Amino acid sequence: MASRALHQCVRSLGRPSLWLLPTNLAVRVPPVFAAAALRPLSFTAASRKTRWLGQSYISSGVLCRQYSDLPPLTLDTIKDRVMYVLKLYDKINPERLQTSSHFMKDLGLDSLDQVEIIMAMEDEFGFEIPDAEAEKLMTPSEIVNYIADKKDVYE
Amino acid sequence: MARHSKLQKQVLALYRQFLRAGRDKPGFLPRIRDEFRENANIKKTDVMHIEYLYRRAQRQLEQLKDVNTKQLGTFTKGK
Repeated sequence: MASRALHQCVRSLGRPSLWLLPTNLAVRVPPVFAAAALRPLSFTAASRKTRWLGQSYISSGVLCRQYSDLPPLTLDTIKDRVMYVLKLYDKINPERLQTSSHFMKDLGLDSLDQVEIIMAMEDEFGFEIPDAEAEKLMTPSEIVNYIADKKDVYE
Repeated sequence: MARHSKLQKQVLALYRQFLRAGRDKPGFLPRIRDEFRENANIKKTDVMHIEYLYRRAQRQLEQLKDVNTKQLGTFTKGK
């Protein structure tokens, strides 16, 4: 599927410019395309599509295409996304939710709900959280710290 | 409860596998959640019952994961 999309891009450029493309372009489209295709239900699916920055002439006058990766994660964006997902969960009262609220003690959830929440986080951020570490994450701030730890986000 | 016992961890891992397997096939998720929720208040000491349900769940998980299983529906008694 990604190759078909690339093919269309290439064809739309017109034949002559093909020969001007340098051969060592770093194209990071395929993995992001695959990730976007597999997760249509995530609310950030729209923002996950690669953005084609268009063609630009680099200094040597050769035409080259640029593709961008996902925007870099920051602690604030991680926190916003985590809180958004938690607000969407129907067993949590959004008014009572804060970053330091404990799932079991403050929000009255049980361990089955906690498993569901962690699975929602896995879907949101696109990477697996192993069981041993998942059962320790009991507040939103712990989740944010864990994700920042795994994704090498620091401030 | 501060720490989960071995059995509790197994049950939670099983719940995860069920949720992952039932994600793409319609009709399974409410059933999975209800079933686990209903059995959540068995006493921790009643190990025989828990293990029986656990073995049953493993067999049902195999059935769920089978490619030939497409969806789940329920009949309710209307008035």
